[in-house]
Amino acid sequence: MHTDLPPSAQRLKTDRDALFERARGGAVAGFPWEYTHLVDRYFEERVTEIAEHPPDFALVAVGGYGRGRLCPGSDVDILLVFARRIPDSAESFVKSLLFPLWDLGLDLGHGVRTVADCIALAGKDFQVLASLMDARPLAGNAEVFQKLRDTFEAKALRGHGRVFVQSLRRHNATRAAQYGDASAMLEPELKNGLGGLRDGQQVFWLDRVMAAIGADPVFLPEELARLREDQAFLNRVRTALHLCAGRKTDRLFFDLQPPTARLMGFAAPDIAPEMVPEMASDMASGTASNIAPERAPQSSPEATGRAVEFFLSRLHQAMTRVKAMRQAVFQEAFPVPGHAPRATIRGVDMDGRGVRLTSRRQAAPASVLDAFLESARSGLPLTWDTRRVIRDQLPRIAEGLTDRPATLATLVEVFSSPRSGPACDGLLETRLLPALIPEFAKVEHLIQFNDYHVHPVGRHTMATMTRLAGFASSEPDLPAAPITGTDTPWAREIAAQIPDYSRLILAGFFHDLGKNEPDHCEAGAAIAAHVLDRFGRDPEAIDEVAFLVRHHLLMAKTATRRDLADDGVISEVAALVRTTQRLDALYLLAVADAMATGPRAWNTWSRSLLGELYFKARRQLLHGLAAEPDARRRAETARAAVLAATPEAERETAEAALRAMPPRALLALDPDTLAGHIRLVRRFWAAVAQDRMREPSTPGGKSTDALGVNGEGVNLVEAGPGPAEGTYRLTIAALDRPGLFATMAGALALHGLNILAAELFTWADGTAVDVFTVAEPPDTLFVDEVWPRVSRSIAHALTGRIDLATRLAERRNSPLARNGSSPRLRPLVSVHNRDSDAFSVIEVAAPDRIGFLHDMARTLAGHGLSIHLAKIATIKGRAADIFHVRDRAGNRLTDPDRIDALRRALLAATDPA
Amino acid sequence: MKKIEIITRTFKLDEVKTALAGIGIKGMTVNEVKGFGRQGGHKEVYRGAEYQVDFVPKIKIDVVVEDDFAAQVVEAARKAAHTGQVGDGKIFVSTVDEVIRIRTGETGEEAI
Repeated sequence: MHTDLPPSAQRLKTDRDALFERARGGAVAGFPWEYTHLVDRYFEERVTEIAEHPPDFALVAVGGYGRGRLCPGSDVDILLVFARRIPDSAESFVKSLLFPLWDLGLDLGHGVRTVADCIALAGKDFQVLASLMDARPLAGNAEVFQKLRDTFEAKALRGHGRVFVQSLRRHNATRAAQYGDASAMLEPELKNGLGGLRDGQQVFWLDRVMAAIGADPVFLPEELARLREDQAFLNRVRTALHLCAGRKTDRLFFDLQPPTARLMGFAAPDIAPEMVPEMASDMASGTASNIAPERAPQSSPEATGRAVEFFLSRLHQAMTRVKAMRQAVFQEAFPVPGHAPRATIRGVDMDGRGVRLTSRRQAAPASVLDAFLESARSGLPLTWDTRRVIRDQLPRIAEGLTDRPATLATLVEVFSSPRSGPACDGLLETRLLPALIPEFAKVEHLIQFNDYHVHPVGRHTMATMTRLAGFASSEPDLPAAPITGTDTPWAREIAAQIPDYSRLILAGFFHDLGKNEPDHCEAGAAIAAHVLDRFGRDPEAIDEVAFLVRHHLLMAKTATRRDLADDGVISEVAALVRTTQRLDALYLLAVADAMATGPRAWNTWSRSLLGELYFKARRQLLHGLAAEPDARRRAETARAAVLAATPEAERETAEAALRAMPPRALLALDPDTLAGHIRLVRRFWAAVAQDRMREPSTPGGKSTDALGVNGEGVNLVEAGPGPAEGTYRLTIAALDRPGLFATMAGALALHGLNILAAELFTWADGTAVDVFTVAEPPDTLFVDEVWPRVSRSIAHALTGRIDLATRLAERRNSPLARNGSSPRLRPLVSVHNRDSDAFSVIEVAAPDRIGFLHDMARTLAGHGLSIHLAKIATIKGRAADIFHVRDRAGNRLTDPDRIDALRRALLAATDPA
Repeated sequence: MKKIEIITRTFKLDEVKTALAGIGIKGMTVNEVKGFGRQGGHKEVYRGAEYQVDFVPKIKIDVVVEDDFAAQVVEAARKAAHTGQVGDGKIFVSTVDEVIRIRTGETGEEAI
């Protein structure tokens, strides 16, 4: 269809197609320059094709095109600049110039302005000023361009430079809110995220502003050269991303990471590093993270996963450096006016620009550490030139500090400061902390997709300690560590009871350093013991920290996986922990760890589970096991309480109901809830009786009633507030039958309800009373309309009027379901018989999808197992479901053959395709 | 190809437009429309008498995109148009058989 393309455009099309083809084959390195060159040449030729007389305009490339950094999906932004007046012929000229590019499918942005227009606009709109920063002449009258450049320098840079900087600062706050800190995100935004390309561009822009207004530069030429390299790397990633996505997108989504990494040359790890340029340069500059990839087949998900991890870790490191430079140039060249705190430690100076060493020539190691302490106390970063001194003299400084008790004490003080953010960033960015503790360096950039953590280990460690410091701080809610919202109200109270908080901070530091090993808790404890011994800590403190590290997952794992109504479970925790002080410390560590992991790990639901375990274990530790009534006595008390509250006339039926309930109900539910269940079941049987009367189950009888025949579709749904904010508790009564739970789970999923936990009480009279804890339904304004619809769906599914599996598959296959956006990990199934005396505990972890729980429950029912308790956690697209099951005879599942068959069936059911 | 019809509040037009442009949507058609949803419009009081406003003014944005892009477009539009209150609107997705660009005669995804 491009028969009428002019020769210049025809040539651009041919060469561009060839360039894209080569790039898709792996040649992404030179792409931005080559593409820019092709477009440049088009404009030159096109201007000659259509200009009739000597041009009185300058054709100017601006923005990313002006920088010569065109990615496949980039906009091509140009300006047609006239010295004074815009002639009438300009419009038709622009059309002839741009229409061929439109037809080729390029995204264009253009302006037709006089020099004066440009400068006036730049004064009003900082984005225009920014785009003119990178103006580059393409064709036309050189004098006009020179005039634009001179006027821009004199008026825009010198006149509006400071206003421009303030606009950028505000813009950066918006970017942080909208795109997040890309340098520590699993799906980073390459352009606008913090640490993205925009940050690097700002450094160069501010450099020009400073030159124009006569300010001293912050960075050395070689530092700017390093920044250029990092920017070029980010630009290559963006190029590869655009090519893989087939369109302009700047967020590196999960599903695009493997192809992008492959196109960048990050391949399966059994390829020698020297064959991969990106990896090789990493090794050479000594910034490679120490990921020791095991040999794995090139195509295996594990191998791909490791290549992606390596790629992301390289990307995060580049973004961290870019972000640090952008922050430094704003902080130091354009400090926010305000009162500057005075330094409190000798050898350290401080003003609004940051903390600096008094003597920079031969920095005393102890003073360097003091500078970080001052930084942590004040919340101000170290100045760039001080950081440069530390980087340059790192071996000598590290040698003077390593293995000394005073060093560790100061580090702990730094970490314990509630404003420690900039100091921690500085300790990482200058490489001082990794130099002092090589064990940290080993895992700093490690990313593990197969785990709950969404940040690299180094960042996660720092965030965990910041949270811990926040609990112990008397200052309310610092912006660096806001602990409102889903805060645990009692974390501060508990923190105030901890005798030696430094041990907890150290446990926070070491908790994930064993991440390279299969059992990271045990490995982390060993690392903690080793390092603390090296730094001269006393054995008692070492034991304590190692204990906390070894068991840092105890609380979270027990709370989310096990039956907290089971005394045995609580006793086990209490016996392991032994003292309330340790329980306090483990609880705070678990909370800080979860908060630092992200909103999916720390929410009102996980908070309520963790809180329940903490208080139950604490009660047992304080009052002793013997003081607690045993299960039989507690059940008796509950029974008596229910009967006491029942009117005389109903007492007999209540007693029968209590006898029909499963024993666990009397332990897990409080008397009010038990009474509620009894009332619900009574109403339920009345409804069943009515249903049977109305709709006799005669053969061939046409059933028009929504409830079905013979009461088999009858169900009652009662909704109330759940145990945590933003959750609901649904109590559903129905006739028990195999697969009932699967049906209910499927019906709930059909209505977009996310199940967090379920407890199933099967009465001796054949009633099933299932209690679901669900997250808020999608429609929070009309919640009351949801429950009747759920009840109807359950009835329809029970009577065979809708096929849940089909309906769920439809949902799953909707064109709008974004499949594969989470990392693809191998599903895991495990069966334990040691977690509970009464039940087998089955754990399934697999990529989450609509109807996942339904399929798991159906498979369990198919193997003759009934579910008594289910706990469901979904983290970053990965479902981790725990089921407490027994077979029909009430026994645990112990036969190895049956376990194996079940495991295989569950694994098969995790993937519906 | 999919046609995505976004019915949104009038004051949300700019936000939705920016969001769609941000993910690489190159063109759209915008209409001023009137209608009502589950609330059946809203009540207004005129000279002391309450009367029902059946049709509420809304903006309808139409875009046509490649199949595998539809989910991302819907997500971006929903995020931008969302306030959480009644009257946020709806998004319809349907299949488009063919597209022709009048000027060039191009057809299919090339012509979107």
